[in-house]
Amino acid sequence: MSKDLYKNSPQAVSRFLEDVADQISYRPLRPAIQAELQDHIEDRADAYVSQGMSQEQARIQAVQDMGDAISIGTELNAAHQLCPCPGLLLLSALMLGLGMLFSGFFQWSPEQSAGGFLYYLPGFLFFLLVVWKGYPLFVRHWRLPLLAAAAFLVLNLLGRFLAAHGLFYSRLLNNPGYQHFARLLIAPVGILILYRFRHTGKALMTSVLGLAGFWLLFQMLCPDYGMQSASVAALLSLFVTVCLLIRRDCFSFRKLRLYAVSLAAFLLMGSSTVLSAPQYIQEFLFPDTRVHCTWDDSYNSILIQDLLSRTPLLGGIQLTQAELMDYGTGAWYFASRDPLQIGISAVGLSSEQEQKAFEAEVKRIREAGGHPRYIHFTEETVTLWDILPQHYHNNYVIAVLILQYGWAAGLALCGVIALFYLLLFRCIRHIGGRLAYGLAMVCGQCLLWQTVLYVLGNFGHQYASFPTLPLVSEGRISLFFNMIFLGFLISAYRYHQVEMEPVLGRRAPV
Amino acid sequence: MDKRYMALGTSMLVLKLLAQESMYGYQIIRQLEQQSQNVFRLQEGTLYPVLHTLEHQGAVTSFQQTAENGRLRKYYQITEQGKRLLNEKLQEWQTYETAVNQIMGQALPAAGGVAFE
Repeated sequence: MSKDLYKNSPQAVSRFLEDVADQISYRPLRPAIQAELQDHIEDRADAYVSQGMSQEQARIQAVQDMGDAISIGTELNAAHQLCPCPGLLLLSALMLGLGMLFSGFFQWSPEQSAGGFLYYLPGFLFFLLVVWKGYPLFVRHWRLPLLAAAAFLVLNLLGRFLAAHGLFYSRLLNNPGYQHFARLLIAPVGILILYRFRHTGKALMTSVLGLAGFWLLFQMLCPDYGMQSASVAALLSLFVTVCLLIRRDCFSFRKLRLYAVSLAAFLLMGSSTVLSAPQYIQEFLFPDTRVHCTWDDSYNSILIQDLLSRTPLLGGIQLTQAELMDYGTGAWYFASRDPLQIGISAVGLSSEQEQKAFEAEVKRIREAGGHPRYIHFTEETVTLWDILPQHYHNNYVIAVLILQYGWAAGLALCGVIALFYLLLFRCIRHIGGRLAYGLAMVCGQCLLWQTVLYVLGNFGHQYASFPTLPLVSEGRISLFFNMIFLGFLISAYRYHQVEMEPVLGRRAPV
Repeated sequence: MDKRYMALGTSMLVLKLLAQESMYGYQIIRQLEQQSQNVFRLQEGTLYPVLHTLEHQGAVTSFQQTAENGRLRKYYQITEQGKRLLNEKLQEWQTYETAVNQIMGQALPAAGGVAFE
């Protein structure tokens, strides 16, 4: 458009700004760009006024100095485009589809399968909603989600504390799913707090200490086995993201000092987590040293390791009926170590006499220190399905896939998971804004560390409680929480070029 | 000048100025004019697409500060990544400059009457 259009016009500035804004396709961005350009024009006009020009002439001249509104707007529009990531969205949908399929495959009963299915479709819709609106809403109202997350954490802490001391028990607050994700949530909340104080030394140091203190309090008041893996995942996510933010010059202080403080805080928080239950490290590294009975998670680990070592690349594991029975009862391991731990047959207890004999045997084993497992199959009826550690729902999706269909099937699933994370972190790497990058990275890390712990567990190295395999296993509350992490991540990537980052702690953009 | 080198030149100059101190858009324009003794007079609005692109690349970051006259200003600050980018651009520019000088160095004597071989 010709500059002459603004000549002698009393509305020169507003017409110029409107023309620029009209070229910006992402409408919510227009006011911030207009405000920045308007400030520039006013500064230039002030300079002309001080040189003796009239107010009106100065404004018209300042607008003319800006150049062509249409080409400026077009270039600004090119710099602010939505970033779609169809590959990652498709892969997320594929993994959710696999999860839904496995959910039907691995549950105990049709009711459970149906229950699992019920979460996938709304879960996916919820995910799309977070992708669509998550980051833009967060940028405009960041205080609200931060306060909500902080309140959720404090409520969880309080709920666990009151329940542990027998004062008050809330089923909702003590739900393992909520507890697990309350721990994970500490990572993104922590990142936002550190980001908020990135320019003020004392406040930043106080935040680090406050975060470490809150963590120690959580560990002390709720030393829960079920939450241990979530704690490790949260801690690693927090530490890695802080280091990456330091690398990107997010904090206004010397990098070396920041790395040192982060490492010290990580070691303090990590030692309180890991050393409070050293047996989990032993179970993780040497599960065979921690097996006492067939109910132990360590037993599942060594069973999985043994079965995986006998599985070919293509086609499932081949076992004779006698071998299946040996694995099913635990005799393969306990016959030479502790025969009391071998499962006892609970098949055909039709008469009262047989029932009494069975109960007497159970009593004898219990009194001798055994933990009886009731076996509901015989050598004639036992199948591979009976011996797999499926009693923990779908904790062993990868291992069971390998045992049923060979290593190739399991490795194919691992390949899909690896591709998913490759795409995910490639997207995050391209995010320029520090807040969007920090948020996306911490969400990605939370997903990644859950997956790492899950995969290790599937190869016989379980650390404490099983986490979920995001999008695939345990499709209930975990599905919704992991949808928030993934949705926010993709949303931050999608909008990182068009959303002005809020200046946390200072005045918001005009 | 080739558009690519114009763009390279503008972003290089902007990064160089921001390496000295954090500035807002109008201040950058003024510094460009002053330091180049009015040789570089951009159409001022064209600075903003350059600044916003550099921000998305992570080469600069922005923050807001209220000026003495009460106006809320958006300041741009160079990052470590921006400093690395500036070095790359300087090297690219030097390659361009060397190539131009080599050609001009050969061409100038010709203008003085030396016959082309």
